[in-house]
Amino acid sequence: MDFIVNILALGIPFSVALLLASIGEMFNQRSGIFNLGCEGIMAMGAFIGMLIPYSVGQGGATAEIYNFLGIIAGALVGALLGLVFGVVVITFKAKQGIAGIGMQLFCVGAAGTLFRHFVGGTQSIPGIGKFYIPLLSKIPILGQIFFSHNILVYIAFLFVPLSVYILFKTPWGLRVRAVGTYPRAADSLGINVNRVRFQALAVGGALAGLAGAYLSLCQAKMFSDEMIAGRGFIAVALVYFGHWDPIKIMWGALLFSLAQSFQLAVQGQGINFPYEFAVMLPYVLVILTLAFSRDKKKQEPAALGIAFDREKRT
Amino acid sequence: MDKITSLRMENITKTFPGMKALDNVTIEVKEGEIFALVGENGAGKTTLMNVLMGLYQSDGGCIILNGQKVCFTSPNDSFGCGIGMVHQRYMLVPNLTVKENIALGLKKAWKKVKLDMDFVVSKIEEIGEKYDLVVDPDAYIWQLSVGEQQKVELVKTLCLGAKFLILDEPTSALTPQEIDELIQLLKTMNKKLPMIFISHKLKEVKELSHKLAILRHGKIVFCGDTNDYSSSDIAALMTGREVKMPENNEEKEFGDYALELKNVNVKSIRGFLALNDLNLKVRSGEIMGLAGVSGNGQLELAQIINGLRKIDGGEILFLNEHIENTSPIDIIQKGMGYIPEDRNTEGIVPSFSIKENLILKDIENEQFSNHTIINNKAINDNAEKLREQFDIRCVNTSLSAGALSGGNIQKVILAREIARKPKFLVAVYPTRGLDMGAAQFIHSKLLEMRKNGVGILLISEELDEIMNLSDNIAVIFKGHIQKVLPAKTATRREIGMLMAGVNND
Repeated sequence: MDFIVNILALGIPFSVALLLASIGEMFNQRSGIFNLGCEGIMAMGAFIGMLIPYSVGQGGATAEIYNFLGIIAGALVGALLGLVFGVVVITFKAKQGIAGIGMQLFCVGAAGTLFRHFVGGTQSIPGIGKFYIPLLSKIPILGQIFFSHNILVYIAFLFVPLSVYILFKTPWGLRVRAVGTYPRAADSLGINVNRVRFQALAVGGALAGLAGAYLSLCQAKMFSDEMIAGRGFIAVALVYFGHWDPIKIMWGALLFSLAQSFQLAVQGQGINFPYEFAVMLPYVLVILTLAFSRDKKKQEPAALGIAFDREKRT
Repeated sequence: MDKITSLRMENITKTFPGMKALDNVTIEVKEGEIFALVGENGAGKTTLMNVLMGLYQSDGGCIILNGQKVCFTSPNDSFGCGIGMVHQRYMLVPNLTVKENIALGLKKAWKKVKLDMDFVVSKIEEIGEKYDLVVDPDAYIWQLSVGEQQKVELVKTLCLGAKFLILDEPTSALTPQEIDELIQLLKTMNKKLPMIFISHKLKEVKELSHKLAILRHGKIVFCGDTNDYSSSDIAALMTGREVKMPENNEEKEFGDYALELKNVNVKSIRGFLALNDLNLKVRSGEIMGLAGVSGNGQLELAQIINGLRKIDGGEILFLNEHIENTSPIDIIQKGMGYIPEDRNTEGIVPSFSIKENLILKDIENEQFSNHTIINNKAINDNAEKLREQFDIRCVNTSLSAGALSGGNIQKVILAREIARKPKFLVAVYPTRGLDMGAAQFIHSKLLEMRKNGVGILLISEELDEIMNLSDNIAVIFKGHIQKVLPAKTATRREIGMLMAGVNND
């Protein structure tokens, strides 16, 4: 019993970085742009997120404020990098796939270099601790699984219904969906396609930056070059997995991170099972579900990956 | 402004680098009128409408609305004055619902944090009542037929406040029945709003419009009442010469069956049967027209005959040999010719030169290469010969083929296919988007092939083309041949019913 509770209680915070990054990537893709640089933006978010509390607010009563500032700065840097990506692929119409790889390499490299310059070596920080929700966290089992995490976990899960609402109930969400599927139609109605895409990229970047800051401030409580460990790419895959639907994306993120915490638990328990297979499990699961799932509601943004050019004939 | 009682475009001139697209064009549309704008491709119809929509700025002239001079510098200005355009390619986002598509342009429904969908629906109902246009606001666009999508497009334009409609070739993707319905609908709507109707289908122009203007090379060559002129007068004015579309009226004996399809089944990617128990036989020297609403299996049929797609059941015989599920090269070498649907991506390699495109299928032929080195002289000679024979208009044949106009690209494809002396030809939409001159040329070449004993499967969405050229007409519906009719006695009505899936037998 404890074994299962542990898996669940560990899996939920594991899923947060993936969830935030993939919801951000979902906004990018819904608007017609896929940003493979997600991984890099997360790395920058993680670095900036830890840099601020590390350099100004070590310990003391104000530590929480600087942690909070770190989170905000991570998101801001992400939004800024999203806009930079927009300049490359929207303004200069570079191919998105290759620009994304460039973005990823650049940001990971920059984060590592800046880290060595300003921090030096591995330094752990106090980070953000758990927040036990009063009363609810006292419930046996459920309290430990659902209500004993740091504050960002709750916020991340609130983003799921929030993004459903934004996407399907607000004018901005409608514009995002339209420019991602048939930009010419949106243009003919006087909607500025490129502006909407820039906005979506800023939102997507901010969420990726936030995901990175979560990793450094809440999960690892440190920064290292390899700490993102492919999560940005998994986040991109999860968007396809979830057919651009925030709720399905959430299930995907949970599936992946539960599989991951399962494999950690298996190793921790010393169960005789080849650990290479255990490590593979989450990735195999994602690949399999991707291969067998169908986009029944036809949510795929048909103009994904194509720069908009009013003068170009189709 | 409540109503648009008159719209006048006066002395509009527009120059693009190197050409005068519009030269002193004046048109006037009054209340209760349908004004037809006709002309060949490149005559300036679209440019003129883009000026009216504020997409282009004219170099000279002005637009006068209800007697007042107006200036449109962006599409928003012309929307604001109540001018709405229904584009040839519908401007609807397929994975949004009808009401979402309309909400996209309806700024009044954009509340700060929420879309006011009730407002959108009430607007749709209001327009529906006023013009007798009923649509389901909750349907997704991808679930609707082309005819229904057109209605949505009309509702959308009207919901956004149009009091004057521009319709750009509105019938190009509709079945004959849907066209009749649309014409009736437009006639009733016209009582409440004036329209400009752009078309090159003269039958519809005659039926629908009160006045018409004919554009040729950017100039108005004629402007007047539609009723005073016959279709052939208009066609002659449009092209600047008498145009007589060639017709198949020569009796002849057909040869043996060249192509036979027996009980063919093909599954589409989404799992349903794209071709369902399809049977079709075409003889040498026969033109078999295939009529049908696009998307009923025409493309799959052309692909399986040419080996571009596998079949899941049945047989295909070409000159008594099985060709099902073999490779395209085998079928090409057996003597199959193919004019594919999409001339730019399947018919030619756009970045290759014209002369290279002319020998694409024969590069292994000893005439053009010894399997290692290509013979440039033979390729040049071949290109020069075909250029003359097929009237391919280009500066020289070393230019990339993608830079040619649609009509000339089609001539390159036709030249390549005919020069190979095929035993059979599959022609898919051979004249789609071409002007009358180019279409006339291609039709006469097809009839010439028929005369030489080549069997032709002519897939087209233009009923006139099929009825003019075919010996027999097969009607396809949901991947099944409904019926084969002799072209001599077939009527438009009968074919239209079969295309819609009604089979009385």
